[in-house]
Amino acid sequence: MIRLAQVVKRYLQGDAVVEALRGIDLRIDEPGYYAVMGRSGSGKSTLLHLLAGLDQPDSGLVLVDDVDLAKLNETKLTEYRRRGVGVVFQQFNLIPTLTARQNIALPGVIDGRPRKWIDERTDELLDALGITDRATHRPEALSGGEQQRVAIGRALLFEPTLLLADEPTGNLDASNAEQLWSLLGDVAKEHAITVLMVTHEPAAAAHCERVYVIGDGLLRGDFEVNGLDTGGVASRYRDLDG
Amino acid sequence: MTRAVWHLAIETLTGRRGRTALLVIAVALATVLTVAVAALIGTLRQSVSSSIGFVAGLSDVAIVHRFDGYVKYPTLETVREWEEVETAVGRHGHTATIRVSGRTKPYVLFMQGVEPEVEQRVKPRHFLEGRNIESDDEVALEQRVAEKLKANVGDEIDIIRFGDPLSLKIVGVFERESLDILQRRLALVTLNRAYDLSGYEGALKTIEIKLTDGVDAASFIEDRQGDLPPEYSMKTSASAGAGVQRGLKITDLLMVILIEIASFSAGFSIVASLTTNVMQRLREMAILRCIGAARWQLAASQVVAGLVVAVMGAAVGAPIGLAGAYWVYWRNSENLPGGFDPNPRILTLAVIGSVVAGLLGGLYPAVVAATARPMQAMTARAKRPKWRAFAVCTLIGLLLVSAAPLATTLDVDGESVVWWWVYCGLPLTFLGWFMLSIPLLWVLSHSAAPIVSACLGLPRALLGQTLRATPFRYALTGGALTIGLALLVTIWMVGRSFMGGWFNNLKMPDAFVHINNDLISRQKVDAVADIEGVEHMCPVVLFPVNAKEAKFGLKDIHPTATMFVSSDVHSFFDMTDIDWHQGDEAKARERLKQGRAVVVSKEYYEAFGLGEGGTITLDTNLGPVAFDVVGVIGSRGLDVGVSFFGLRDKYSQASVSCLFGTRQDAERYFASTNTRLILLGFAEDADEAAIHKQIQALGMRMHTSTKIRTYAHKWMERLMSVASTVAFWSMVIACIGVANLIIAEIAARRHEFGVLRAIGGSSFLLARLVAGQTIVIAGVGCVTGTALGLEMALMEKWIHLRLAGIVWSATIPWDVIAYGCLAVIGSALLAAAPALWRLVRTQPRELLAAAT
Repeated sequence: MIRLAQVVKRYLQGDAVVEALRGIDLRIDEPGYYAVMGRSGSGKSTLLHLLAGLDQPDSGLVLVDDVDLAKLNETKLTEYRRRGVGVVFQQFNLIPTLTARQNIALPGVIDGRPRKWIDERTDELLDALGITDRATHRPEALSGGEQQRVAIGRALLFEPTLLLADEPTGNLDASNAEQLWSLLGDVAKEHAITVLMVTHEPAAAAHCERVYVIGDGLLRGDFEVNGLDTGGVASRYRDLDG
Repeated sequence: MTRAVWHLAIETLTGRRGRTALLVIAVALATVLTVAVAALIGTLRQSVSSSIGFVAGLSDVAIVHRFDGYVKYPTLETVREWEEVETAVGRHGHTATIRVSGRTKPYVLFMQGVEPEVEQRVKPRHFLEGRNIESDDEVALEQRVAEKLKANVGDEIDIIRFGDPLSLKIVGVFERESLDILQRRLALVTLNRAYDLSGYEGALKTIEIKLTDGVDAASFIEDRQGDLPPEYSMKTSASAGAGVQRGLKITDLLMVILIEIASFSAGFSIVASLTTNVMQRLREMAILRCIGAARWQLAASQVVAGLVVAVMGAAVGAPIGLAGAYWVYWRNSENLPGGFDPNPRILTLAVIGSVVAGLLGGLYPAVVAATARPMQAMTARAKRPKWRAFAVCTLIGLLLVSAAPLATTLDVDGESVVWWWVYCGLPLTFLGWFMLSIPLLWVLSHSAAPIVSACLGLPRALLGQTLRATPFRYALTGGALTIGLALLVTIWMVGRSFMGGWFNNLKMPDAFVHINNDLISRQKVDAVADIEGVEHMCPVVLFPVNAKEAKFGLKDIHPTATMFVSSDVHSFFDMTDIDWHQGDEAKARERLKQGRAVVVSKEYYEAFGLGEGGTITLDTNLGPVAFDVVGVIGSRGLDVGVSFFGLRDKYSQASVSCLFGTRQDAERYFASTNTRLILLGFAEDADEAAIHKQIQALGMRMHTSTKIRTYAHKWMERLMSVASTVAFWSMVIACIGVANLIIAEIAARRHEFGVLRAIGGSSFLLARLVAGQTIVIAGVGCVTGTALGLEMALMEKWIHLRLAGIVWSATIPWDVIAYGCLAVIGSALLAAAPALWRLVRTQPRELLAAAT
């Protein structure tokens, strides 16, 4: 369950104060595959950072599974990032010196899990993501799609209830992007978790169940995808975003 | 095109101003160190040089005894009759203990016996108070002695001597150029009075000659040397100060070594920092290549950047170093009469050292920049290092570090190898171990990194693989930490091994008696023999000789003369507890008595293989004479005793090693019969303090073997402290390099650290990760530093063997190595701490934002 209530987040940009989120409210009660759409600078990435525990709001409530992230201290927040949430970045953000397997295993190693547990879980994920044969390769030797699968594997190691994806296909070609959108949907279904994808592409959002539209730091509205194609999603998005 | 290079270089430096500033500080520190020391040495040398002329006076030529004996007075009368001679004066000095009448504190000074009127013509003295001496009951004091004793003209002084004290009236106080520790405190008395004090009537230490105008000193010596007895020699006054100058030349040698150390410390820091910079900017380099920049431009920009850093560092460091040196001079200006005079040659060398450091520092980054291929650099982020580069570095490193040990096996004289070692071997060895830091980092990333990871609770693969991803810059930074530790290891290993493995094992007589290197009269020798508690006594005649076949020491710095020790064979051998290494003692004693035979010290045998059955040709007053070697003995205790007393005086010109012969041979071949040293053996129940008191009452000095050992240990400790300070500076300079790398490292990996935070890594994890890296990097410095230190110490051991014949067993100072390694690791962590602190305080989102 995700709940944001009256969340405000401001940044300093040079001497100017930028209000990225201006009292946003958002609620997701059921696991599923959701999209957050908005223009550049609308505040969608800030929203994702707050949910990932990478940043904290200036005011308002950020609840994930009834835990108020704003009230967590640094240690608890670190644990939350490690086990409670998974994040997939546009740039993949793999550790370049580690192999695919080591990258996926990394949160487990950091958490001090037994080696056996880590190995079994890593094997499972490599297999599920179809990259077992690439396990010993470093990121530089992997394609963009493969790198992003490794990033998903890493995010899922602890089977978090929330998986956040920030423009995950921004560096992929159309074919790989299509595969990844489907993959994220499968993950949401198979693991019964909430997958929240930040995107500006209607084609990506068309794979989701519901789309939340953000503009100027506020939630402009949301709609169910339910059978809409890319054009339909784009049309509904334009209606809400103005 | 040149403008483009300049532009790129400046961009390299201004792009990361904080790191450039750190680099400049590193070079500046190195320059401060070398310039300050160079300026002080220059000032000291100037003071000594300016004073030597004053001290030597106006004389042109001096006559002395070749084997450290006396010149007979009639020779002076003969010389005065020579037509080329305008004036000739004879001098005879003696050390005396005096006391101002009515006061208790005794004071030791040198009583110079002169003929006052004639002396004033050759060496005019300026009297600040009173007048020159005129009679045997008068004395004139140098200004500092008068001030020290608070004595005035008209006061009387008592000379404490064998028998009743002798009173002299102070009639004048004269000015004297100050050389401080290089001079003995002086008083002037008449020649007759000096004879009274020494017991050597009619003996002169030197004859100083002022030639008539137009007579060339060198030609005069050539013409007149034959008119003198063979045991006397003439030398120009210009060479009179050669001993002091020679002593100072060793400072040049030390300066070269210091400059090498400082320059390499700074140079290694520059290499590490610029390499890191280039590695980070490979993408930029690639773009520049794509838009038409030539390889040489990129390479040249790095060299220019290194030079700019070096010049800036030198520009900042040189004035600070000079100011520091001036401050020291200002505080001691009374003892430095030559004024503040930084030696321009050494000063230039110090600045050149800094610039060369910059040039060398820019070379490797230049190669990296020039060999980056556009497309490769555009895509590579964690490119695996090439094995070929590893192999080349390892091979070159091994060759360089082997150069010096290999040189010792060549059939060349020890002196050549020593100079080669200072100017080439040492820099090559520094470079060699620096290059070996690269394969070493690879080894440590496999062996030590897992241990460090386990200790710090880090993901095992993360640390090792991070280090292996860009081994060159990590290794070079580790290599930059090498020199400080190496210095520590060398000085402590040599110091301890020398003291523990050699000096402490020396067998010495119970005590040595001397009069500050003055001759000891027969009367005093007899008086010593009568002292209660003295069981054995052996008067020793010793003087420097030149041996044709075997020479220790370094020309120009440490003369190649050795000591001829002559004594009564039986008493000497009986009381000095000699170890016979070769030869039969009874036969040797017999053979020595027959004449033209010597026993050599063990050091001769060790260094030159000169043993029983061999011959050694000595330069005598009868010309070269071959002496049979009838035994090899260890009596290094006597060697050290001789050297100890000579630390400040003429015996510093003698090697530590000796030849032992009879007094008869000394008289026959060297015309030398004067006792300089008495060896004492105490009775078991002897009261050392009482003996000491009686010796003092005779106007002589006594040093027990215990005192000599204590002094030597203190001296060594002081030396080790000085060297440790230089090592500390070197570590500080290198730590700036570490700080630079860590800042660069964190800047380059901010995004990666952000990802680690994003997936649940704590800020403490990041701190431990960077600390782990720093520890392994410092570990590289520890290994290479220890290895370099051991190699330098072993070279020192070899040099001791070849130049002094001293053999000591090397003891590795494990505790110093452990403390040194802890210091290296600790200081590296300290250097990394500010950057780490900033990293820990940075929010994950800010770290992640680094990529966008």
